[in-house]
Amino acid sequence: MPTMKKTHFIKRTINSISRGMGFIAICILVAMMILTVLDVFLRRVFNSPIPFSLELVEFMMVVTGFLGLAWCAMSGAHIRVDLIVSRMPARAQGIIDSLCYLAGFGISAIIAWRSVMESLAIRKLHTESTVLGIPIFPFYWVVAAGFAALALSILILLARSLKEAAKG
Amino acid sequence: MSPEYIGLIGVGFLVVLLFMRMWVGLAMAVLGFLGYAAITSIKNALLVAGSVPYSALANEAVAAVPLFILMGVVVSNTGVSGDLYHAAYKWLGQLRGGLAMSTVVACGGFAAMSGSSAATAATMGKVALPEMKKYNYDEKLSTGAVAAGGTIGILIPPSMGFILYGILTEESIGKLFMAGIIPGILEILFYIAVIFILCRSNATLGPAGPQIGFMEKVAALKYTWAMLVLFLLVMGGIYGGWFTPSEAGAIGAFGAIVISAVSRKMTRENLVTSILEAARTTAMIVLIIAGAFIFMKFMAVSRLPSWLADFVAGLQLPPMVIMLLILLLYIILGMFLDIYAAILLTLPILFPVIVSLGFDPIWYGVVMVRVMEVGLITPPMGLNVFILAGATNTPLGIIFRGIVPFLIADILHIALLVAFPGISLFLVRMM
Repeated sequence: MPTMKKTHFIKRTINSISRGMGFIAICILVAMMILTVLDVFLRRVFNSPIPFSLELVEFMMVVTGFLGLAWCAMSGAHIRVDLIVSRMPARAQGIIDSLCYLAGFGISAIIAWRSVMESLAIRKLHTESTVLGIPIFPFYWVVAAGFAALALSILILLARSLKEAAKG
Repeated sequence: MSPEYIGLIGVGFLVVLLFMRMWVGLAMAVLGFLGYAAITSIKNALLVAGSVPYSALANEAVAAVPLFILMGVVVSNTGVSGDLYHAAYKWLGQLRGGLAMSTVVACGGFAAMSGSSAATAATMGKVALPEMKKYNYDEKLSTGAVAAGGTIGILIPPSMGFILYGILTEESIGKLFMAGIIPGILEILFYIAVIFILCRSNATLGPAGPQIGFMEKVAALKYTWAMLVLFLLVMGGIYGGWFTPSEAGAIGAFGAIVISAVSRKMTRENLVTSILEAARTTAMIVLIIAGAFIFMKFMAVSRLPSWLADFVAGLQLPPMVIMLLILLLYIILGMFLDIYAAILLTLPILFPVIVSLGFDPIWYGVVMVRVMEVGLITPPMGLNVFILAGATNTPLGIIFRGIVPFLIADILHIALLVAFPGISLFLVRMM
């Protein structure tokens, strides 16, 4: 069936987006470690710190933190408290999960959308980092990208739990 | 409707969403957003949604999260736990219950590299349980020692619990780390005492191992000294103010990679696994940090926390009684909630109360983290127990029964920390 193929294609696309972003998150994490170690080493041993290390670390934290969100969601690693729901019948589980994923999709989409708006607003103010003068607005795009991908991943999970709810 | 009332309803709905097993971070974000909108306006809430996640993360202190996680996973994936255990065993093995004591000591050593209790229990369980089985140790004692010893992971720095506490309350993560050291060592001693007493009254629980010569004891340290040096460098650097906790985390992670590469324990495969694991755990914590900061905005405009502080002050109870009630609440929360989630959920509401009662926030951080350790080994959700049961096929009931004597030690240890804040604050005051 063509619709099956289509949903399969969408799933695969979302999967590769979340993994691609996860890959960037991983690289930046390693870079953050190396940069910080270098900075401390140069500062303590040669008394010549890397002046922009601190602000770069802040940017890197934003990238590594938010770009990992969707990948973490796809591997089912986000923290939740499962005391009651797992003891319910499959259909009730499907319904409850669907409601939660719907709400989760909503807030992730809102955060993504508003981060874009914030980015546009900040761009006009020309806010820049103090040492390197890196403009800050693109990093709100990173937040937006992370949450947009998270919202898409939640859609896949939502589809799965809706199927569970419809089984009956 | 008064803002305080909306705040209270928001907290109620948050609990409902959590029980519906919604992801903790997103549940906090949803209610934070809706609550903020209800008290101020949708327009303001949308501004919060767009600005808070970025500002919550663009903070040097948050970088301590991924870096210390990386240090911990590298250490647990490269077999350092085995070295720690064998070194401790050479020194304590000839005592009755010596293998169980070694387990606790090795857990403490592992805790000094890792900020996670679950990782400590899982890693040490793999190494220590087969050994104790070989020497005919009682299953209740051996699993109890691993599960309880594992909880030390979040008390001895680096500790993810302290890092999150510091990020949320803007208390110094470095001071919190220092404050955890002495209580952590005391906890090890308490557990050793438990094992000593148990095995004294019943020698079959943990038969003594063979005598080991002094030179062999010293030789056993050869694999662990590098890790000890790394710990001293990381914590000493924070203590002496040479670098920030995040920088210490970077040095710790880098050092752990170098040490395991030099000692030929690092393969390309487990380096990749470690980095993947660290990035994924980071994302998991980042989502609850972002959610918690949105929720905090809601709590701030609702004035619920300050209302609660006034209410508690109006009760005319001695502050210590209130503290004990709060600690009881944390024991219960710890039984049901993930420890990181519990910290990020409750602090926005309860931290102002603690401060207004005049308690030292650093001391409180230690006691709170210590109290939540108890939840890791008590029913119904004792995470460490489940991890061990899953990893070793031991029935849950046996582990839970084995835990009981350690729980008694826990209560005495917590009472000591509460009664004498100096135990936690001694190193902090020396900084």
